[in-house]
Amino acid sequence: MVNESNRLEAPLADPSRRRSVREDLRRIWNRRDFMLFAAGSDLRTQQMDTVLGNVWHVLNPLLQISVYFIVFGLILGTDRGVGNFLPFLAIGIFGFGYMRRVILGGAKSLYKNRGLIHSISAPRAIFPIAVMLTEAAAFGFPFMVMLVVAVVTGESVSLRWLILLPVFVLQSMFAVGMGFIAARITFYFRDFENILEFLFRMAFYFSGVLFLVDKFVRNPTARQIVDLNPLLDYISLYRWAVMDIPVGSRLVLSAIGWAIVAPVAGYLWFQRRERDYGRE
Amino acid sequence: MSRKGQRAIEVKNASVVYRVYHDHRLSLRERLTIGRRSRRFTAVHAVSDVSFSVKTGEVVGLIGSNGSGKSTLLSAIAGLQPLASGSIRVRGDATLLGVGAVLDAQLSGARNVMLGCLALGMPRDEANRRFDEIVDFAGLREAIDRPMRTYSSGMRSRLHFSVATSVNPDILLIDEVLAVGDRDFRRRSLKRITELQKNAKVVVLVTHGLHQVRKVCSRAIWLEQGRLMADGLPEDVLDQYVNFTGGADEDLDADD
Repeated sequence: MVNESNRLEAPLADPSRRRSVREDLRRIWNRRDFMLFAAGSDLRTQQMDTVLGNVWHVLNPLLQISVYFIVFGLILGTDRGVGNFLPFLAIGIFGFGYMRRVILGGAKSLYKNRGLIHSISAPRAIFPIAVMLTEAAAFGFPFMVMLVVAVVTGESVSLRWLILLPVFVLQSMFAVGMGFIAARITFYFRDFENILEFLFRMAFYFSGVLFLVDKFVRNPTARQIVDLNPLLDYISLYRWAVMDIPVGSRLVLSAIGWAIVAPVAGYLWFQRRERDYGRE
Repeated sequence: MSRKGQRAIEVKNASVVYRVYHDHRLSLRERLTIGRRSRRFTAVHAVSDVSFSVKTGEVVGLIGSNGSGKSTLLSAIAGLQPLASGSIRVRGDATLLGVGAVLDAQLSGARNVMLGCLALGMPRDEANRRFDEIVDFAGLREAIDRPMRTYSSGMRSRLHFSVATSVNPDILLIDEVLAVGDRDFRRRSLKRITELQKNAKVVVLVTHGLHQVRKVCSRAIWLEQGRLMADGLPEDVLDQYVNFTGGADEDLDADD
């Protein structure tokens, strides 16, 4: 049994007080089994009512790239400057989709778990984190599809692939941080969920998911700004690992910077209002 | 383990005021056309200037008419309801059990048992080990693999109670959950409440089952329109309450 408040010594305290960050982090760590289990359960129920079940986890990404390949590769021809457009597209779409789902899922997580939140004194940060773990596990399928597409279309397996995992970790840290922020905003302002959907749709077209940014952005100042776009940073790093499309050091630093700043700032900002989240 | 008789809940001049809005949330269009006029609301004093304290090892029955502020007071003790004035302090963590509370309705009862235990901070292996005992106590062996949305409210409450009491909570706040369980379950749950009491935990029980209060509570608190009317031994408080509500009625009060 986890003894979170040493009962004999525990002082009388306001039950709605804001806990210290230290205490809160300890309580989150104590719930690690919960977060992993919740992630597994979610993954299981996502496709529970469908005939094909888990096949959709692979089928969905395949169908998605087919559509984009036909529209943007064959019809509109945005593939200029990209030798091997199919894996380029696959990495862009899946890498972007992962961040989108973690952040949107984070936005909904407080509302979705209100049953638990109303009855159990657990740190609320476990919910956006559990969403990230769920999506990280679900990302395994498209990740495989991505690599298979790359190899089938002529990319060779290389040592650079080893960088995929650390990039994924950085991307997850960034995404969960933004998930915290989205959760707090959505709690007070439910409309934000819709706004967020729109922002992602827009970002999808502006973040180089479908085209090589280098070929469209030539102005050096604009280029510097583009490099700081976290949505693009992680995708570019994946592309570098799998397709050897070069990235600059500024982009690498930006990717690392976002992965540190977003979760720290996001968590602290989320936790400041912790005690509100149980209220109707 | 804590000593008996240590102060565990301390409520000092607590007041909770709700704003009950007469109209729905204004849309942007209405806000623009009606102008800056704010929504009309009535301030409801759900809990007014209530003070009491509870020591470890006490089981308190919270009684009163519908809308008397019992549930509001309970969620304030759980830290879910902001106070307009006064203060509430508790020792340790409070777990609130309410009717109809669902962890995740799409998931099976079994997964909900696990989620509930883990969210309360139980390690995974302990949750696995105690799984059968929790399910058996809830009497849900047959239904445990069905999604929880197929459960009746009684079944949900049984599962919830069983999970919440399996971790030995410092303070257990029960909001009419026992009323929806069947007779057999009620008997078992009252027994478990007595066990918690022996372990120097605190249980606060909101109920209309006066018989339960007599049977299991060491103390009763009567709220009416948010005000504390009486606080003391169950028999004394219940007598006053029964007189207030129009005399004893054997058919109503002999609820189990």
